[in-house]
Amino acid sequence: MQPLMEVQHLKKYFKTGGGMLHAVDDVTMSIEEGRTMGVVGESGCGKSTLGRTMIHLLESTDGKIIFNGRDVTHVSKAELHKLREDVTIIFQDPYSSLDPRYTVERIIREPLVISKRFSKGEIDDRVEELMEMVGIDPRFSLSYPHELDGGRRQRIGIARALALNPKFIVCDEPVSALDVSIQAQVLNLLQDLQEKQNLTYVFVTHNMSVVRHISNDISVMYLGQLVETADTETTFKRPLHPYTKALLSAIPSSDINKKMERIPLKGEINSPIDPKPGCRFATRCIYATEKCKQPQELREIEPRHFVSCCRCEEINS
Amino acid sequence: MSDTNTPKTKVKKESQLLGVLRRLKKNKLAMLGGVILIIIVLAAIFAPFLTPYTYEEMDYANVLSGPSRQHLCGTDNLGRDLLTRMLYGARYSLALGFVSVIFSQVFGITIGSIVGYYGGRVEDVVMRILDVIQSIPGTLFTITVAAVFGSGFVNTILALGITHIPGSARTTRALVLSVRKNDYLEAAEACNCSDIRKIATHILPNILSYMIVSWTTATAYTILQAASLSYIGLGVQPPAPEWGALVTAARSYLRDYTYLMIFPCICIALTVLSLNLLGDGLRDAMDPKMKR
Repeated sequence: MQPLMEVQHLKKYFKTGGGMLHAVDDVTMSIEEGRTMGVVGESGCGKSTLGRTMIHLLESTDGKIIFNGRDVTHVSKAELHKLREDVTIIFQDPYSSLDPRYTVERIIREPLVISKRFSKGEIDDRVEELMEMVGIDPRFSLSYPHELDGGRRQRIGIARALALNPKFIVCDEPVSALDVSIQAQVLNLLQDLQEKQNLTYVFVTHNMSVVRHISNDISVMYLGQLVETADTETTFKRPLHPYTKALLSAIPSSDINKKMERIPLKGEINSPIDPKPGCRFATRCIYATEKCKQPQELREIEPRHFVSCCRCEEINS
Repeated sequence: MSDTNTPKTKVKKESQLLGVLRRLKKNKLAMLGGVILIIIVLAAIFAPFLTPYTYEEMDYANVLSGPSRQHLCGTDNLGRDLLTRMLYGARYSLALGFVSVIFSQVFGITIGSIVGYYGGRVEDVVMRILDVIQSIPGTLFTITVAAVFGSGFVNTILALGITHIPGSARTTRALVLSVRKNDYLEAAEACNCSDIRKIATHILPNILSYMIVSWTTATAYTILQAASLSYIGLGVQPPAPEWGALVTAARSYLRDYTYLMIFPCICIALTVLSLNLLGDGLRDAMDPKMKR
């Protein structure tokens, strides 16, 4: 199957006072249509930046972005406008992602108005349809965001994202600001919409339980680099990279009889500013050797299971 | 959607303007300010109907007469009715205040929102230029500009307006910076919203309520400044009865005919006070989160 979104050796560096910050460094991944790619990692590992760079909210430093079989790394303004009707984003914080002076209806209406393709009547109908689709009662259409709870606000954000019938949505931690009970509702809504409209998601999160629930595939990031990618089941059953193992061992278990074997990580996360070549996890890795100071590459250890660790086979044998 | 014949359950809410007014009504002090301001404005507009005299009409029989039934606020050294002069003076003072503030805000908001939104090298350059202008004491700068343009009504407006551009640009920029990082701007970007549209429909409406306070205080301050310009003879020229000019004229008679200074000063103080009260109230009333 041809991937809908593919990035190759994607890099995004930010210039800072101290040097170049490698937010996303040489990431290669592909996402097939109708599937969900979960991107996990700790805070500051570049997972949100990756998502934003994919959809051109941030300009990539280097590498390739291929959407729907077409290279969209460098696009003209007109092409970008066209592209943005197909790709969009759902934000983490439903408080700051909605303009406090806009009514619910006006927020959802905005993308439709800007696209200039619809008449006023069509827009009215579409707004109504979208509100129904995400489950917001029409009586809220003239409310302001601050009058609604977090879950409803996030629904509005989703409705706005869906307005132009996109194919690909970056979900940037869409449930991490919500109560647990509301998280489930929003996740289910996202899954329903995916089924109905054949949407493709990149789901950025640090919550392993959420990612397990919603993703088909999982990519684990550490300090801007991809360390492991596989389908969800494989990732959880047979993680191969030492970092993935540590990350998974940190998920709390609700089973009182199951003994948790935590792999505690020692040391600090390296600075992402002008990092040294070699495995970035090496300073905290219990398996680290001299070999790890060489640049690592993502290798296909098993079919469709990529790991970026030179000692992968030794550790896991 | 189901095709049932249920009527649309759309709840039409009050418009934003009505909501603001309704909330403003609950603020007694702001309403007081508003009422006083409206009275002053109406008095300025209908001045000819409110007084039997004209502001240049001299009554030599009653020179420097104190308040009496004939002349409610007394007369000046040429026997001109002070109340009449103050009523006509309101036209000059209010126009000076409002027009020069509008002038300075148009330029200030444009400059401030553009440099605040785009940032970068241009911002550095523009802000340093504004720093230099602002490092000159305000009144001194106004006097300099007024001296360059010369005195007169329009030139006074220009002088006062130019003086306030840096402050307005600076305030706008700071406010733009405070909302620029919000996700809703990124969301707007993601749906192809142009920069100008973002500034006009997302940024400015969100900082408007804070700017209104600075507008009203600036208007009040400008009226005071216009008065001081007239006081040193650079503003509106006699016989135009601008309030500051009235105070200037009164200074020679301060010891014996104090009322000549007190009445115009009350006018200035009352206008400034009511503008400030109204401004504070408007800021609170314009915040949709303050809905009650």
